[in-house]
Amino acid sequence: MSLLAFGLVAVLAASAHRRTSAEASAPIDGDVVQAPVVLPAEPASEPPASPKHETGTAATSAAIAAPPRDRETRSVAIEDLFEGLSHSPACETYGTAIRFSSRPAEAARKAKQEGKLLFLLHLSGNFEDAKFT
Amino acid sequence: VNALANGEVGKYLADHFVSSFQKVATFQIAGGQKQGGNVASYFCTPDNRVLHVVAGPVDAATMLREARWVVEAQKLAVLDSAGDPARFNEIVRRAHADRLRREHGLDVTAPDNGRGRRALNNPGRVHLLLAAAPLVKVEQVYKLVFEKILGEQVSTSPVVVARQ
Repeated sequence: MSLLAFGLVAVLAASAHRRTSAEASAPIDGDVVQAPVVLPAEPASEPPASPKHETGTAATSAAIAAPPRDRETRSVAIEDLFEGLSHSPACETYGTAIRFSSRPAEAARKAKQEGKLLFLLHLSGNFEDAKFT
Repeated sequence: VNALANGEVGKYLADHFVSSFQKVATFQIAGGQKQGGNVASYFCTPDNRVLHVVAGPVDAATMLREARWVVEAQKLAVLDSAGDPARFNEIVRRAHADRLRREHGLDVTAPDNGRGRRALNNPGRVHLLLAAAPLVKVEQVYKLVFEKILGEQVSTSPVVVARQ
């Protein structure tokens, strides 16, 4: 009899434990207890550690996040190289009373930004050169 | 292009449009004389949909009148369509059909579509085109405008100076 009572208590205790752990992960519908889905552990995807990267990781991240003072200086210097070399300025009048963008796509973008319409001239010859227009 | 040198035209276009250009054809220079060549002025929405075209060279007064007509017709279409693209399309179509009927005597709503009644000049052909296909994209229509209305071949060739 005492053995039977012990067995009953053990079964009830096991059932209560299973219900508590299931409640933490998934809702219970009636008496059906859904076991939580356990995905297999993913393989480690970290890049192989190299002593060189490990030592400089924090410093490199900080350098990327911080305002790139030295990179700005470099891009300005590159732009300076091309200053005065451009043969097709962004906007010109070409002997008219209108400022023309040499790039239709850029003009369309600007028209959208400024809430204006687009005036597009299709022509024979080279608009940039009065002799060939 | 001479019309575009006019100050009033320049100011009006600067106030209402952003301008650009595209070489689509060429011409030949023989004996110091220009042979061939033409120009088409497109008034478009910012997404390259054609509201109106001035086909060929015109004087400043004509360019200004057409530019004003486009701006006012477009403003009215925006007001009347209340954000409905299909209605906007229909209003632009009707605007061209109205001008085609009033200025060129061609009624596209007539039972025979007015076919064979009379020859159309370039402005009439433009209105006919845009009454049939309002707000068509520039890239879909520019060859037709240059080749069928202006009678010039579209070409990427450079300007050729013929030798004597």
